[in-house]
Amino acid sequence: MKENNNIPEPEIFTAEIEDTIDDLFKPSKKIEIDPLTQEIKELSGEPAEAPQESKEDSPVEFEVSPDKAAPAEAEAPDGATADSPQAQVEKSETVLELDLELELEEADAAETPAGDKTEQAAEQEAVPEKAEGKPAGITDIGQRLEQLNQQLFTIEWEVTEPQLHQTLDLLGSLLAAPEINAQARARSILELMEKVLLNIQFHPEKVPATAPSILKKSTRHLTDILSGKDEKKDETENLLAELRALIEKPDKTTTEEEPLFLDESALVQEKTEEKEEDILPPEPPKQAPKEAPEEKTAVARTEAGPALPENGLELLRQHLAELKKCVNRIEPLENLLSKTPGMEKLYRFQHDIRLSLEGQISELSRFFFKDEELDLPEASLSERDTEDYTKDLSADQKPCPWKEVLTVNIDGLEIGFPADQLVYASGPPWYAKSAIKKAEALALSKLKPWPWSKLKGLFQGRLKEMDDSTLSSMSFPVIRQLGGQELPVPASFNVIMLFDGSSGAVLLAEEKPLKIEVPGDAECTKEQADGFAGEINTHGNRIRVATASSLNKV
Amino acid sequence: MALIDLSKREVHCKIVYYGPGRCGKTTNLLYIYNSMNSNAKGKMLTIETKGDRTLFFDLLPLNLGKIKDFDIRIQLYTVPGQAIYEATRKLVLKGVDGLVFVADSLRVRRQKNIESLEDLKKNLVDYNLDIETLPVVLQYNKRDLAGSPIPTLSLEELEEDLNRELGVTSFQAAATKGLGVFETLKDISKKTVRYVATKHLVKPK
Amino acid sequence: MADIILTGPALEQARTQIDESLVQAGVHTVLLIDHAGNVVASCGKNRKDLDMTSLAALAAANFGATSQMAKLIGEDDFSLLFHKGKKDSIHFAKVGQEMILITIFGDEVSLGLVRLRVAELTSNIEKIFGLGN
Repeated sequence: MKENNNIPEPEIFTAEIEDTIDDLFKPSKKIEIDPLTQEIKELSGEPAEAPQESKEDSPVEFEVSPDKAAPAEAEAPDGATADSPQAQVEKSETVLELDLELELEEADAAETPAGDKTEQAAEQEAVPEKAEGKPAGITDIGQRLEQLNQQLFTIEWEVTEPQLHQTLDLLGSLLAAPEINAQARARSILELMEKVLLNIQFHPEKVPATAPSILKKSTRHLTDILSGKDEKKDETENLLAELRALIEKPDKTTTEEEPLFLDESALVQEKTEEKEEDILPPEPPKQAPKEAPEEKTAVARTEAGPALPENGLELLRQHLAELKKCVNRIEPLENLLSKTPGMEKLYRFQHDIRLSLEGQISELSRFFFKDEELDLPEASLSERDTEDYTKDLSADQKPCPWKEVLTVNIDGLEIGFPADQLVYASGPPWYAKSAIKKAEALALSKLKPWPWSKLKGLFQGRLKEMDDSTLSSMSFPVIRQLGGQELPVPASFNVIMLFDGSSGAVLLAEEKPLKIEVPGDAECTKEQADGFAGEINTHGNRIRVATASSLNKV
Repeated sequence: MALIDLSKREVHCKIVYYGPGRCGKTTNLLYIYNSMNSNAKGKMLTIETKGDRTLFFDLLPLNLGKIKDFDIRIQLYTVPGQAIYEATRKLVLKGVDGLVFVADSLRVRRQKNIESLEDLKKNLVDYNLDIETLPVVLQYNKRDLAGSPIPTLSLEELEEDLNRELGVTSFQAAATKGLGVFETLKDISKKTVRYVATKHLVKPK
Repeated sequence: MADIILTGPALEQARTQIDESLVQAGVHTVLLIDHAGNVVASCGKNRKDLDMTSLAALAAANFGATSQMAKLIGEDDFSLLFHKGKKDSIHFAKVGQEMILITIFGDEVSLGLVRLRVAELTSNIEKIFGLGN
């Protein structure tokens, strides 16, 4: 069809357009929009049109002229094929919501791009067929280099484990190719590229942002080398220098030009989060790598931790010791505040500081020192003694001695206990489960999952401050009776262990403890009875409180 | 900026409803969309926001169908009116072919009306467009409050503030009730399509 | 900002290029739009669930918004833009000063491939329409 850019009869054209506009642009029903909520309300009656066209300055009274109203269609759906009647149209219906995530996502290991794999697989399958023809080999390398280029373009914007693995596999296959082996320069480039990619995988924080573009440049240069197009030898040297710069360590503690980490076991351990509401013991330390590889660098490192200069670790130990001293000083103050009327806010303040400091100590120790026993200062006797002030309170004394209480439910019996006495709350090790079920007492060493793991790491609170040899000699009674009733052991249970510094007790409960806040106006009574130390009454709720020592008096 | 596809015989025009915040731009489009019951309208697009203010733009595509073998499509846009969304307003204004300036009849918004019009003129200049040549109509919205205790501007005041130099057609409206909405739409649509078609399809190249 | 006038042969040529370069490589949909949000050409699967009008309008606005942001931070432009979704992703690229190429693809097509093909394609389309910087 020959395109006719001109309309032969413009006046008719514009007239037709205007007629169409008049025909189509009109309301077919009367609605009203709520100015506050934007809700659409359908009204009965014909839609009204107000003829308002004024260029003049003279005041015109604003009025509706129903005479000129266009007749509304009786039934909306008749004429409409595409639109459905919208009696109760909500604004949300017209909203187009985009559900795109703008952040880079790490694909799951399972979701490898199938397309790329099949492409690669196809290429690899094609290799044996072409092995006999020499030009075909080069073409194959050419294809692989093109594939590598593509991979690098992807990695530049989206770094994922599958992408990195694929790229590393591809590099590996290139390094194994005879054409590459024959060219020393090509081999050197590929080896360095491999190291850069490994650093991207394991230590991305140490790889400069220029890495992807240098890698792409390297791929282009490789293509040139293999096709004989590279002319300047120093171009290769410059490129090799650039690649080396990507993997050289920035600080001066090492003199050797070696890549930082090639050992997969030197992966940084992920931080495990501790939730506040649901107090769990820290995860048993992950299995330490069996052999720390012999390192030739002058960098000091822990068994499986990241490298730090020697004095850096020592400095860190000192800082951790200082933090621990702060915790030791806070603890008795916190205890005192918890029992002093009117000091609830200050108590909470101190408590939060202490928890935060303890969290920091725990995280840093685990991150940098893994299983190493740190010699952190314990609270001195004089500091501990301040706790004695609070031990013997009369039953009538107010305010409530228990500010933070955890509760468990055993066979319908709600048992509360002071949160700071909880030292362990987790499922039993599988091998000890049946023994614990029947035991009268539970030796702490039974909770140790592996022979080489430290007991200390399993616990929190006061037990965490004790050394392994003491812990492994301790055992606490398993409470089978409380409040005058037998405590049955559920089929699946958690070991809830309490310790107040001198005595301990174990409860076996189906659920993990839940934290409850004790309001300031709660009424507490301290009365030893049937294993309970007292009770809290607040807003009509009655919680019977047991402590490590009261449980021992059952 | 109109898009004219000579192969598909399509003409696309962009009409933008401009004005200060809360003057009724989105209400105009909502009214058109919800009361019009024909195949002439497409799905209305509103970028979902927590409040009821336009954050980016609203879009209502309209289609006149085939006229002389040409498919005429009109896209109605609104801009966010608040002062802080200046950059967004400018973005939405890109490629505009026709304008509806919606003014607020509330007396307290008098200065905002004037500022918004100045803002419009400035943005058009940045795009090398002239408000004198582009199809423009004025809509004085919320006229239904004129008789109420709430202080409103008179038509003379509105004309004096906004239309003294422009001298374009103005419409009185109460968008929540639909009054003046379609009148405004029809007028600006006719003017815009005529403007675009005349520019490209009528004069010889 | 000039009006864009498209002719049949140019459009056809552009569509063929897009088809051969991207659609054959496995991308779902490619839209060529102008900065005002109008669809110039669309290739690929005819997806009934895809509201192209809205997508084009939003894409243009999005692109425009990021351009403004670039200028605010002293950049000339972000000429490339990429949004990653769980299933499908969208890649944007400027074509001359007037148009934007939008590529929608799933995870069976690698981002690197899309980037490479689009880079080649945009310069070809620029030549076809006589657009340039």
